[in-house]
Amino acid sequence: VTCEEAQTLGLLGGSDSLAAARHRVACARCAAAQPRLDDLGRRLTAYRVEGPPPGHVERTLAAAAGLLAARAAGEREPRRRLGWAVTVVLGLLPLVIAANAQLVRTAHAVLSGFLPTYLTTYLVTSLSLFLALLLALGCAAVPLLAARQRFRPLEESHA
Amino acid sequence: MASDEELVGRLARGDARALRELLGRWDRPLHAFVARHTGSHDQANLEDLRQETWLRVVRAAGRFDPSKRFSTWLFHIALNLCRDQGRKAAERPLPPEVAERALADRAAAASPDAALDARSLLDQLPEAQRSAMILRYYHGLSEAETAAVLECPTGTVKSRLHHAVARLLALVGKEEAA
Repeated sequence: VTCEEAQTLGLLGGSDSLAAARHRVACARCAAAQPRLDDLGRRLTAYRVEGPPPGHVERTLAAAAGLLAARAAGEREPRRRLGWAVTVVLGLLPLVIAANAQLVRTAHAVLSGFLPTYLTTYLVTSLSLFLALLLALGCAAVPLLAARQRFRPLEESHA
Repeated sequence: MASDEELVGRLARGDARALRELLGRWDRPLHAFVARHTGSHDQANLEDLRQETWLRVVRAAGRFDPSKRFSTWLFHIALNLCRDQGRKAAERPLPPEVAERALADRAAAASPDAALDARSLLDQLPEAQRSAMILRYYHGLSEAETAAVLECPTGTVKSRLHHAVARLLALVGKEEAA
């Protein structure tokens, strides 16, 4: 422990306080500085600050009310968007399924006119699976897209 | 009882009760920090700084890292505001009424009252050393927490504190000699 460290620890405390105290007793320079250190500690301790004026909490809450309301709205907004998106998808789903079924039926009718049955069945099954996959991916993408559209309330770039 | 960090999470969702709770816990230490850092007794100015600190807390609550301590974040925001104000004050001349208040403050600081004496001592430290001293001595922050507030390595905080204490001791010694 150096003299500087011992004096700093003597004033502010810290993990090596005991070693610092021993140093200040053993070191003539630090022993000579001890009254000044005590005086400094007394002066610093005596520096008290009056508490904040009454009513400050209410004034701060009033000033922050608009920001808090924006934050609360920001919290509700993603859920509202998601609900909206799911409603639209569920509304459109029967139409999409009907259109896909019609497409598969038409493909089957057209292909069976000039292709052997086994080849027509293979192609139509492949088309059905492909359309089902597209539909599943489209439905799965809705909540993801809605989440990406997250409403951002006012935030600072630096705090 | 909810931790400060949990309350910030609720604040980020717009919970006014969380802000009230944080104000109850931290408004007094924040006021003391701002008053000691600026060395001002101008209540209107202190209230402006304090209120702006809280508004920034509300605005930035969504980006608060809950693995860190709220107190260091709060003091960091307040410190930035105090520094901004100090810079602006240095750039433009004071209006007459503010200059009068500052002169009155300085005259009060020169009185033999012990509390004001400590304030005048702290005022003579460079800003970086003063911030470290206030956070460490009056708010009981560890060196690591002080470093987090000041955004510098712990070693730098130690060095600033050593220099600050040495300078304060020199000032006290000079005063005693005089």
